[in-house]
Amino acid sequence: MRRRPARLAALLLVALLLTACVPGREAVTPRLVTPPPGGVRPTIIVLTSTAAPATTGLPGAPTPTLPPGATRAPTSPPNPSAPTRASTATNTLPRATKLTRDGCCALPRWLPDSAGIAFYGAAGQIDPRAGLWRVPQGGGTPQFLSPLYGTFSPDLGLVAYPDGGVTRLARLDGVVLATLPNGGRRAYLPATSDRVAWMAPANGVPVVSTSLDPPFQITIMQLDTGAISTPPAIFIGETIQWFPDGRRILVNGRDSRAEHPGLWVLDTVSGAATLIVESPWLESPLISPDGQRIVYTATLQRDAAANGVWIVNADGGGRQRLALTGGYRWLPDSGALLHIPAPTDRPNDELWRYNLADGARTPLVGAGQPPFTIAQNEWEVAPDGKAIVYRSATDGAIWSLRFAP
Amino acid sequence: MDHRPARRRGLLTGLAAALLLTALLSGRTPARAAAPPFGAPLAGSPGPGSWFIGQWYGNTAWAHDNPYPAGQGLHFGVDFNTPCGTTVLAIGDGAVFAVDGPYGSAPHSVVIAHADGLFSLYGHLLERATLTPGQVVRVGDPIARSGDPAGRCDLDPHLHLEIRRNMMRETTNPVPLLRVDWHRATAGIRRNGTTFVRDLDNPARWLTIVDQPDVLFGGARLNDYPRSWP
Ligand SMILES: [Zn+2]
Repeated sequence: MRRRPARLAALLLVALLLTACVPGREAVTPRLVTPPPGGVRPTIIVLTSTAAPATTGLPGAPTPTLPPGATRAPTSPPNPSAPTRASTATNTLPRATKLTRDGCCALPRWLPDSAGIAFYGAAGQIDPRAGLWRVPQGGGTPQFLSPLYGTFSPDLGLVAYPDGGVTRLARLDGVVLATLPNGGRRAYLPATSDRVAWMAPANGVPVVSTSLDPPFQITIMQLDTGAISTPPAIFIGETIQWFPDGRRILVNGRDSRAEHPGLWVLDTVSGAATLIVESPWLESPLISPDGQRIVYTATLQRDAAANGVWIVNADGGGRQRLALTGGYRWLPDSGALLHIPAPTDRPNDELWRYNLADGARTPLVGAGQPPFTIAQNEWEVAPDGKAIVYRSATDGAIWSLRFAP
Repeated sequence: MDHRPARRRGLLTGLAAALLLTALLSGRTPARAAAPPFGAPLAGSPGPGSWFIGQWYGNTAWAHDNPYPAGQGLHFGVDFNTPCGTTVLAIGDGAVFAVDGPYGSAPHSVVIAHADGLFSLYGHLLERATLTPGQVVRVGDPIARSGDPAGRCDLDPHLHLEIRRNMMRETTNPVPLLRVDWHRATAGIRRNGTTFVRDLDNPARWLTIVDQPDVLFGGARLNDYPRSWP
C-alpha cells in the first residue's frame, strides 16, 4: 500500500516527460481548408482540360464506349506539373467554374432552369448574412435569396424549416403558409408540393440497439386541408424519399423489431408497406426521376459478388447489378447515371456516364481534365443533365462542372 | 463482490508498463515527418464489400440527431463499416494499455498506448482480445476481430476507432493522424454518418473531415445549435 504513492508519482513523471519530449502536435496536423478572413471578392476561375480537348465522351457525340465491367482508364494520367489554364472566357469543355470564395459555402443545389445554383452560407462581399444565396451557373456575384433553410420544393419557391417545436412551410420571402406539428423535425416535400411528410418517433417501441436509428412512423399532412394521416407501418431507418407521384415513399431500413432489412415502399394512401429488396446494409438508394427504378449500393454481403451498385424496379422486379463503383446520381431522362468512380488510384475525381440500357460507360471528365475533387459526396446534377455542381474538397468552395454544350 | 480495487491495480500496472514501454519505443519514432504517424486499422482497399466509412469523427448528422452524451454531442471516433470478424490491425507501434477496459465501445475493446501521449482505442470488437496489458505491438500487427455494438453482427457491424490523449480524457480527430486515402474511403456511400450538420448561424465551421473539434469527455455539448441543417 505504501508503495502506491511512489508508483503513482513515478508514473506521472514518466507521463510528463513523455508529454514534454514529444514533437508538437502541429507536426502531424494537416493543412486545413479554411476561408480567408474578411470578405474576399469572389473570383470566377474557369478551369478547363489541360490535355486533349474533350471532344470525346460528350453526350450526342460519337463516343467510344466500354462494355460492362471494362476497366480501361478513361484518360491519360494527370500531370501534376502541368499548369492549369485559368481564364474567365472559354468555351472548352469540360469546364469547371469556381462560384464562391474558398471555404464558402455548402449544400449546393440547382435552380430549376439550370441557369443558376443556390447554396447556403455567408457568401456576400459586404453583406454578412448567412442564408440561401444564388449565383449564375457560369459565375458572378452571389445574390441573397433568403435567411431560411430547410427542405425546398422542386421549384425552390417553398421552404420547410424547423422553428423550435414545429416546422414552418413558407415562401422564401418568409410568408408562412402552414405550420407542421412535427416537433421541428425535418420535413419531406414531394414534387407535387401538395403534402408533406415527416418521421415521427414511434413511442413505446423498444429500441433494439442504440447504434440504430430510433423507430419511426411516417406522418403525412395535406397542405390544403391540414389533414394528417399516419400509416401503421413502423420502421427503423435514416431517411425517407418521396416518389415523384407524391403518393409512395421509399424507406431504406428495417421493421420495428429491426428485422427484414432492405428497401421498403410505403403507399401513403392505402398504408401498405412492401419490402421490395430484402437485404441488410443497403446504402444510398436513389429513385429515378420517372419513379420507375431505384439504384442503391449493397454492402458487407456474405456473397462477395453481391456487393456493389444495383438497380431494381420500383415493384421489386428486374433487379440487376451494375458494373460501376462509387457515388452516383440519376440523369434527368432516367436512362443513365452519372457516377464518380471510387476507389481509384487517381489524385482527382473523374465523372462518367453509365447507360442503363446497355451498360456502356462513357468518360465525361477524366482525372485532371480539369482537376476536381468533391467533398463528402456533395454534388448534384443540373436539371438539363449537362453539368454538375459540387463542393470542393480542395478549397471548400462551390464549383460547377459543365461537360456538355 | 466488489472488484474495483483489484481492477484499478491491474489498470495502473498496465498503465505503468504501457507508458514505460512506450517511452522506450518513442526513441524509434521517426522525427517530425509530414506524413501522418499512424497506419490503417484494416487491411486492403475501401469498397462496399471490404470496409468503408460509416461515420466520420466529429459533428456528424447522425451524432447530432442521436447525441452521444459523454462526447459533447459529437462522434468521437471514426467508424469503419466492415463485416464481423474482420482482422483489426494496430495502427502504430506501442504497448497494450487496456483490454476491455472502462472506456466504452462495448462489447469488447482494446487500447494501445503510443508515443507522443496518444492512445488508440479499437471498439465494438467481436470478442475479448488475446492481448495482455503491457504487451508490445507493432504497426500492422493483428490485435483483434471486428464486431458490432449489439454483439449480434446482424445490425451494425463496424470498427469504432478513437485517438485519445490527455491520459484518455480527450479524443482527437483520427483523420489527420492516419495514413488512409480518406477521400475515397466512403466508397461513394452517403449517409447521415458521412454528412456533417451545419450550424446555420455559423455555417463554415466543422464542415470537413479534417476540421473537427477535440472532445473532452464530460464536457458541455458543442452542437446544440438553435438552427441547424440537416
Ligand atoms: Zn463510432
